Amino acid sequence: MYLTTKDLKKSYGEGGSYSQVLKGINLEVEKGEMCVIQGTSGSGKSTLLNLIGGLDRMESGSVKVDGIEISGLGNKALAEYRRANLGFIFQFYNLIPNLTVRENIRVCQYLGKPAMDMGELLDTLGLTEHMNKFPSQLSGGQQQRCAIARALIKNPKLLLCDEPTGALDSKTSKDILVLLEKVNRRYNTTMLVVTHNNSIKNMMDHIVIMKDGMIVKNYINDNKIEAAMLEDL
Amino acid sequence: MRSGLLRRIPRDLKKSWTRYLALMVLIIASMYIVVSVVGMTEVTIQGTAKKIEENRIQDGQFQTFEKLTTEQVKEISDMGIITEEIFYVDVSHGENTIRVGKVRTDIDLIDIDEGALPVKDDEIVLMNLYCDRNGLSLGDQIVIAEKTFTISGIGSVPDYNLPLKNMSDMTSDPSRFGVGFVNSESYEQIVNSDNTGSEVYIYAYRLCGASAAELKDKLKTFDYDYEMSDNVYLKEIIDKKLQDKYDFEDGLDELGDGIDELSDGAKDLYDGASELHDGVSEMKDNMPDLVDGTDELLEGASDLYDGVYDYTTAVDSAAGGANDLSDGAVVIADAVPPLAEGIDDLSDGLDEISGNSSDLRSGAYDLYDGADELADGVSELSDGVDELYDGSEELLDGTVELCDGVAELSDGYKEFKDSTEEFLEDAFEVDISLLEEFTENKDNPRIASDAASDVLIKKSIGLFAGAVILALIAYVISVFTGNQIREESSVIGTLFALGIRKSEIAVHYIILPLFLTFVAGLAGMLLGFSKYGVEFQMQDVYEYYSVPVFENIRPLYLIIYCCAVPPLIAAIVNYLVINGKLSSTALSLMRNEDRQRIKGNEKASREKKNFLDDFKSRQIRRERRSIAAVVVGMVISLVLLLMGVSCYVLCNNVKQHNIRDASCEYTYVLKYPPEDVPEGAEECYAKSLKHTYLEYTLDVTLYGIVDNSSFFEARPSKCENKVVIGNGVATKYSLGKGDLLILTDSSEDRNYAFEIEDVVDYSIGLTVFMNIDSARELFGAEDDEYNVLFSHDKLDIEDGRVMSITTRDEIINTAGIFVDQMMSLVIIMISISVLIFVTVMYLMINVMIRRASLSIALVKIFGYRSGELRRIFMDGNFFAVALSALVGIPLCKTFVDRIYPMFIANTAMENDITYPWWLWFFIFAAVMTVYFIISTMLMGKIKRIEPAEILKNRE
Repeated sequence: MYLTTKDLKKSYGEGGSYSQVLKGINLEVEKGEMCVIQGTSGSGKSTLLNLIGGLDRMESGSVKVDGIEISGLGNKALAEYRRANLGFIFQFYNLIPNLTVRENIRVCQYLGKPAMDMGELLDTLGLTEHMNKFPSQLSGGQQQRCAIARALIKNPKLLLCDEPTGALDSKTSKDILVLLEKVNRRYNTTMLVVTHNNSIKNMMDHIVIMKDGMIVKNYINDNKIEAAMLEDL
Repeated sequence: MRSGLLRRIPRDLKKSWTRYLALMVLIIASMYIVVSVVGMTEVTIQGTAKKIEENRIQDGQFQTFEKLTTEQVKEISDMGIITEEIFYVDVSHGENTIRVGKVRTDIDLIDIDEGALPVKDDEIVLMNLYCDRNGLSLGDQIVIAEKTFTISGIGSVPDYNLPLKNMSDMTSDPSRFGVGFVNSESYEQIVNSDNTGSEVYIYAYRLCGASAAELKDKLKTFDYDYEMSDNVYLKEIIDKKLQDKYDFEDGLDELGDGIDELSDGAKDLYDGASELHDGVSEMKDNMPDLVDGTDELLEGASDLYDGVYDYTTAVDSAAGGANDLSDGAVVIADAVPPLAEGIDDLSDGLDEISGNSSDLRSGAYDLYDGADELADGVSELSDGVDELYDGSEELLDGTVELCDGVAELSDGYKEFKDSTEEFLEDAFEVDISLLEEFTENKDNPRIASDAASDVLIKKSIGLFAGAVILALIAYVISVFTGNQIREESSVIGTLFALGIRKSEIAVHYIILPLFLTFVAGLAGMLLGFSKYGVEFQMQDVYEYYSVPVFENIRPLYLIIYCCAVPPLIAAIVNYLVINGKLSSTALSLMRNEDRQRIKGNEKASREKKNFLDDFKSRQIRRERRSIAAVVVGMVISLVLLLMGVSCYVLCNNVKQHNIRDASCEYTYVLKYPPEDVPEGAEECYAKSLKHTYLEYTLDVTLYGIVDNSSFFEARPSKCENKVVIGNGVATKYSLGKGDLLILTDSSEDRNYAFEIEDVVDYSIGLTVFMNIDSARELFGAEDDEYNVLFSHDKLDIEDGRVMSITTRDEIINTAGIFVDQMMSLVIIMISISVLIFVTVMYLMINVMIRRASLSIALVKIFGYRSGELRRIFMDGNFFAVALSALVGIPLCKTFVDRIYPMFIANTAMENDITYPWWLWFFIFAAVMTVYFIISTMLMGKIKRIEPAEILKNRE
């Protein structure tokens, strides 16, 4: 198993403002699997993603990625863990505003050993003509493609996507999902996608539904379709 | 809505309290330093002005060689000028010197801090600084001039505001020198006692409408009847000065006697010549008789010769006859023997006659020759007598002329004598000028360099620093606010979109900085006016100057400066930034777009090999305003820092150089030098001159030193217009070899231009060197005159001759005191500069980190290491700081070098603020150390940035 979480718990606040966001999450994801985590707002899906990504500290439980237990790691080790294994795609792209498209991608190219080819990636994502533009000069879809390129350039083993199409229109969303699918196939990249979009689950291998900090459904999608076939995005 | 918005303010304050606190600290520190420094200057300036009026400060003073006569004083008072005798004598108090004078009544009145003026004969008022430094209190007793005095009062006088012992002193040493006042009777007792210096006659004046020039001209007209003086040393000097006159007068008398003798001789000569003439005349008259007699003699001799000739011829004939007779007789003789005998006798007789006649003829011949020569001789004698006669006549004429000449000489001598007496009166007038020194207030360092004048510079610096700091604060606030507004862009856009007016949004965002800057300004002001501010700063004044305790004042403009200006700046800056921001559309604000800035300022750069460097340079460009603020803050801090360091370096250099240059143990300034230079001492002819620079006139001491002086390195040539200067003068006035130095003799109103022939190590006061003979010649002194003695050992000189004695220890102590006095200023300046530097750097780097927080969070998410984070986000600052330090330190030093002379223009000391090489490295290292401390603190902040939190907030 590539990714395993066991009894993962997380809470915020104290006293009256105490809120348990994750209430013991147990999850297993195979290598090369595309896993979607769905749920309503506040269900804890982004928190789960952040804990798996080592961006936040868990209260209890464990997270093991590719055999590495990250629950006890310090900041430095977590940084090394992320550096070696992970790629991130965010809903609001989170490009560095004062870097161009190419420079934003280079931020992660610098970390990848071996890295993917920049030109090929730009071509694949249709960013070649925009590579010297700043994020503010791009459309949302272009920005998200840039963010995907940034995440993929170092060829991560695990790609964590938090609402990757949340800020995009239907067509652009489909393009992005097709792209992710292509990457998954080509590089056998394990993907964990958090989304509230119900349609996306149809292209995923593994579907997890969360509610109130707990997994309420967790199953393998036997009726998987290609991303290009998705509707109502 | 508005009330809802207001709730954000305390939350914003709580969230960003460190930034606000740093900003407030910057403002508080800035206001504190401006208020405390400028407030101190106001207290001092206004307090001094008030006390000047109350204590009727002099307009100037003049020193005379002897007391003015009653008539002379009246002449001055007739000009409307008020004078006050502020005579003094220096007396020893242990190792210290107390300058004792009478209680003043009209000018330079004593301001009593505690106690009362002396009434009894054994009471004294002492200078406050002296009491403070020597632990003396009211009621304590001191022994001076072998008499015990009780301290009846402690106070100050305006003419010793800066209590310099000598006007040419570099700085004061109130622990070793003080001023005291006793009543008139006690003063006279002290003056007449042994073991005191000579009395110095100084008159303070208040012009009351007259001009100083008029007074000076009047003083120059005063004659000085030195014969009235009972000062033995003065008389000794006068006698010495008059010795040449007496010698001249004796010579003149001898000349008169000689002329009289010459006159008598001429008369005798005339008489002799007359007699000679008469004798020669007589001789001439008798000469014809002599000639006739001689002719007759010659004729007689001729006749005689002829007679003798005839006679001898007859004798010869007789002799022949006798011979014949003899021959015949021989025959007869044979026949008649007795006849033969008779014939023999006859023959013998004839032979004898013959022999005699021959002699007779020779004699007659000689007689004739003699008579002939006599005739020739008489003839020549006659010619000679004629010439003798002519000569005696000429001699007689010449003698007559001689007599006439001698008579004229005698008359001429009488006239010469008459005129010479007048000449001698003028030429040998004992030029002990009654006026020794004439000093207007502006030229008197004890008054002109008073606390009020000194702090004027501090006021200027304080106000200038205040303006610069305000500019810095404004810039910091603008960066600070701009960043905050950018962070709040989506909130502002949302509020804007919801229909809230620009002005309401602006007010909302202005309230907090307005309030905080007001509070900080107020706090800074209160701190500045507290005992830790103005009163603390006043300690420097009270410790350095002998002044009364001034009344505290709080100038309105400082209150406005503190309470109104910072909030006003904050309001204006915030308004401008917010207004500029609100010129965008609400949507643009909500999306936090910054297109304009990117379009205008950012360009895609060429790809570099090292991505981190590329990222770093991008980060530097993005943060250039913040970096500029760091650089500006750093430059301001550096200026303050280098001012403080330069102050320390200067003080230290002065101390070290004084120790190095104080080559003699004792320097005696003499009022009445002994005729012979004491054994072991080296004489010097010194002249106190003045030089004006940057509107300050300071005393420059000219030492006329002997050839190959054993006390000074200077080797001035024998030339009246060349001097060797000490490097004290060289650094003070930026002079070098070949430059011209103009010095003024204020008492004579005369300027001297000297060419500088060399610069030597000598930093005690402001000193120039000249050859002693040239100095004497230039200043009209006697060939062997001197007024200063240098010695390695204490000299045995009567106290009455000495004006002052300065020991090597005193010089070194004074220099050390100077360091101590300036140290508080050094510490304050360095502390404030470090505080500003730290605060500005902290604020700005903090701003940069906040602005980059998303980027930092992202690259942390991607797995960047701490070293890489530092390289991307902090190295730009490092390079900016390092480069600014490398360039800024020399530039700021150059700036400080330019402005520093103005700060010490009123101090008679060198201006050598040359840094040793290691100090440059030390300052650079200190700057970088401060930076590393701050950056390490802020790296902790970067490490603490939680990526998930940042992302959550962003979403």
